[in-house]
Amino acid sequence: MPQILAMTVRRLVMSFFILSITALIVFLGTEVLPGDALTATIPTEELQFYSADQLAEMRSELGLDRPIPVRFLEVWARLMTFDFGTTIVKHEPVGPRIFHPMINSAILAGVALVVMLALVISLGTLASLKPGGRLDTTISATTLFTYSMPDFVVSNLFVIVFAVWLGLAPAVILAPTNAPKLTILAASILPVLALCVHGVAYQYRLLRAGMVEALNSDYVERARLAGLPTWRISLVHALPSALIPMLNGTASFVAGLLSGSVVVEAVFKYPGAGGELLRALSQREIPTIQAIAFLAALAVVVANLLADLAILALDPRVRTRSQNG
Amino acid sequence: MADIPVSTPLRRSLGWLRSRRLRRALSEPATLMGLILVVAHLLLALLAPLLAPYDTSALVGAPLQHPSWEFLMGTDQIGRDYFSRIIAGGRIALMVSFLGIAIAVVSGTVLGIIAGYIGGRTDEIIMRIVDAMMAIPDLILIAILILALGTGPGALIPVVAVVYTWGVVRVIRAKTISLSTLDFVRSAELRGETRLAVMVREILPNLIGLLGVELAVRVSSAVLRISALSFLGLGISQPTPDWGLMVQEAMGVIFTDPWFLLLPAIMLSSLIIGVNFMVDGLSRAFGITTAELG
Amino acid sequence: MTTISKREFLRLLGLGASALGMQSAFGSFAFAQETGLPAWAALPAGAEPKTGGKLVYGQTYPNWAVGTSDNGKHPYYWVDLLTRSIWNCLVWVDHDFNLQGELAESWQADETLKVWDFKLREGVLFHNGKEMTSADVVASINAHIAQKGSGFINAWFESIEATGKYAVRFNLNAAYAEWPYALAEYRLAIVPAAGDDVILTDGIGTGPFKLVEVDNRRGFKAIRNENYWLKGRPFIDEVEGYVVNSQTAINGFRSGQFNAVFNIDPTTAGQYESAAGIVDKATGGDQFLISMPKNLDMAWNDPRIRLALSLSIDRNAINQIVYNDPGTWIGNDTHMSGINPEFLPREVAYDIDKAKALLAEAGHPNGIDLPPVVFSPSFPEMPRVMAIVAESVKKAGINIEIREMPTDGFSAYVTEVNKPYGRPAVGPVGPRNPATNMSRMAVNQSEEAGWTGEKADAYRALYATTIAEPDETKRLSMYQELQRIAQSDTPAIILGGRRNMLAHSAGVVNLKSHFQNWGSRFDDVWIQS
Repeated sequence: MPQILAMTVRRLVMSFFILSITALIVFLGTEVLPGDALTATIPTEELQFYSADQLAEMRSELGLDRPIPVRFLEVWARLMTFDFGTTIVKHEPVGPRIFHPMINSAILAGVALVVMLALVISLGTLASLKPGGRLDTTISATTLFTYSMPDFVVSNLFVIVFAVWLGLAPAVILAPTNAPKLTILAASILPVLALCVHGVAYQYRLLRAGMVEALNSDYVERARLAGLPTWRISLVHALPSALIPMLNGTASFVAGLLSGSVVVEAVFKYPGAGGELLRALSQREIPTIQAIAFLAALAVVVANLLADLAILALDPRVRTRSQNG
Repeated sequence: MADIPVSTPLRRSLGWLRSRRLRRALSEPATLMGLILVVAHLLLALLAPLLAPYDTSALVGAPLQHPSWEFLMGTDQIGRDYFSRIIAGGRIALMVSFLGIAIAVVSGTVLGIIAGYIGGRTDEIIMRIVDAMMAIPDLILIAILILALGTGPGALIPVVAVVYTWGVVRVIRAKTISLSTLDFVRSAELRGETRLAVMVREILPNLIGLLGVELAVRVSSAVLRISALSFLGLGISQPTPDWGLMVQEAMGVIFTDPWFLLLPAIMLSSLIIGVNFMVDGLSRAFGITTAELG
Repeated sequence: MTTISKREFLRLLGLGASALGMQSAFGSFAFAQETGLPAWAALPAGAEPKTGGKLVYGQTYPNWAVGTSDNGKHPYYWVDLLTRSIWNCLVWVDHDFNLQGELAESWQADETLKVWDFKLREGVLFHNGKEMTSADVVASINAHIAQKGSGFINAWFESIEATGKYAVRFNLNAAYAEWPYALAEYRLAIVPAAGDDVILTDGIGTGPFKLVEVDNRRGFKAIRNENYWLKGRPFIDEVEGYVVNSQTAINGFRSGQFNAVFNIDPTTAGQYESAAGIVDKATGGDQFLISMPKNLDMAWNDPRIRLALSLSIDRNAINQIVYNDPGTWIGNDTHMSGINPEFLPREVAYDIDKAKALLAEAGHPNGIDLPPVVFSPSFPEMPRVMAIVAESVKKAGINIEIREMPTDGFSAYVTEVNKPYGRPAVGPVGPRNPATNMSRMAVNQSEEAGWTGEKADAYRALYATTIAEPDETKRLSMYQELQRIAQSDTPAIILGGRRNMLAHSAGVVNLKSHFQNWGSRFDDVWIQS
């Protein structure tokens, strides 16, 4: 067990480094490219309309005339301590502004994650029962097909079909940002389904591949010879190791989920961080953009960390190997 | 973490183009359909200016007309020929994605081989950067970069390249590690070839199939992201024809003129479906496992 | 029984100043005798209003302040600009461009037009039960000045004082014949007097509805104000409003979540009508202004090129294609709106040949590439309007990219952070009274964008004399002269206006689209059935 503890600590330290680099990327993206936060507030093609003096003056007002490393350390320290500064226009603290939207988005993404995992595991297990069989072919082709549907088209069609035509859900989510979280949870049903259409496919393919491989392995063969029922072999013997390739893809899966939820939130008018991000982008609220991007990355890193720990739990062999990739 | 490759080393030969595997892959209707869709889309994107009966931004008729011989797909909300816009609607997104991803695949391959083959601290540093870059959801990262660089093709290409390099690094690194343990690499090392020579002459040729798949898969996902940004009003803007933008505009008349939405949605989906079915079939035929594409 | 129109009022004003001294210059004082309501509040003939019900509206115009602050109870950051559900101003501009007393009952100026006396309505209660008096009005106006509530009053305002429990006096620094109009601005709500830090922040007004809940980024809920000063009003029990985009508005309407939508995209009218919606169309709305900075070395510093650009824009096509309103008024390159009686159309508005000749004369016989202009769409049809502009000027050999960006046109940024006015951009210009309209080329730096020279000087000088002129007829011709001066130099392009449209379900009665989006009222609307 101390081995596991050591690995966990190592993972935590690693995550901290990853987050620091993420903070650097966000800082570079918002404050340095192509010049600094000031020019990020002015579209490139408009820069020609400012005189050098005007730019210099504005720069010093915003504290941008200080060296880049100093500014980065400030941003880094702010992000790492969850102090997100104040908005540029009204000088209101960013943290409380994005608190509820972040929670609401976390609910949406969390529910989507759970629903997707349930779908992926049941579909993957079903499909692997008879690889190449009709069920397998149908599920695989369908998921490949839904994977190809743009999320903004799917979300819009869902609204029109399920909300406007069938009246099964509200077409517009009217709940305020700080609504009781149960209300938010209820409002998230349709957006979650829309996210699943696109999101399930990839994880499903990883799990199915893992299942097929596991079911062909020696120990499953032995279990089969011992006369264990098929469902038991699938769920108890094959599934745990089949989950590993899927869990390895957790980072890109969660990142993709969050990307998709920005779009889905916009279509459903879900009171989440996606809408907040879009507004911040259109109002060039750099501190808000930094905060949301950083928190999204944090979510991905934490999810990946949990997935790594799950892999440790699922596969004893991994513990003895160094895991860098 | 990569699977043990089922494929035997291909070693510099491009004969696979005529191979039995390819023929077998194409005998699957899904793969063939995918290939046809992709080729059709590429031709359309290249030839759109020749095929389009009208200038894509010209106001040529009354708005929102139904299809007719004059306007094959009717006209849009301000009276532009919808057919001309539909066939050109993927050009910018495809072009930007293709060039951006090409850069990403090249740089990702270089970094991936180095990380995978050299290993050690180099690998550690590269992979932590990869983890960090991939931790930021791509849509958010693209949006942030667009804010700084603008939305012209000159800005979008580097943005796509920067955002998508890191996924390629991961895939190529994993494959490189598994290749490094194989005999032909070992024997090259024993022959005393330099590390650079091993990477370029032994490892790289064996990555070609995987690189093709990477290119296709990532182009399709970049096209989707760029369309999504256009849909959200952050990407390609009027009067450039773009499917994402067209979907957004079409939503305003969806209940009276639904084909308006269907046309760009079908175009976009068929491109992505084509790429995915093609890649799925080909990678199965060439023994590239799903996990390798992680 | 009659309302005094703006024109009559101004005539009276002229008369009063010359002949009758202080007594005659009153605003709207007429009341519908049987109800005690001001005449402007009268319902259409034969109306049988019902009480009760709920209005839930979507608003597709996210005002620039939406979500910039967490304080949605402050009228400046009110979610959608339609502040008159919760608050009232001293005056209101009605659907026929007449000035009407809202919390002010009447007003009059002295001969200098620098001292304006307002008589307040008596017995008006705030939502907190407190009676509105001159102290509240003085505190509110002072707060608006301190918080830079409206650029249209700051330039002239000197002080405000209470001259009685229900009377206030404005002292101006210059003669301003149309001062009361400036007080109808959407931000200039009257709120209970309070300390500098807290005034305007509690969501308390005098309006027909009391604020229950507001999410500054999404929407609000309000309930009937039983003590509303218009007796017997409002008819509806509850109002909810939500800021949504065009598509979401349609979905919300068709699914029955909204029974009204403000500022619908004109192209989407069919989506409402095909779901039994009724579309109400105003004759005007915000105009789109393309500002052309002249403070740096740009091709359009040459007025011939600015004029050529203006002449090559097919504005009729915009009216026809986007607003389905062909043959009506088009922008005349001044802030004057076609629905202002003072509006002076350009003699020739669209002339490709002349545009080409001007370009050739300016040294560009083969056409010209102008710098890109960016905009961030405020109204949903704006990208299409701009696409038509960019396309139509090609005929004259002008290439100009008008690009949608996720930020520009965001005026808080322009005015508070990016002070310099050197950005070519497209922005909306609401239709207002002539003095306010014409002021924008005289005092608004970002819109006049470095307009200098003889003509600019002449414009500014004439502007000051014009608004000091008490006689309305004389002022009308002076306003037209101002327009001629601007048109001869084309300091900015003004494309023309929206035709504001709203859609409502058949059950919603008497909800009218106002050409001043922010002038929309909720106290005379009722729900049938």
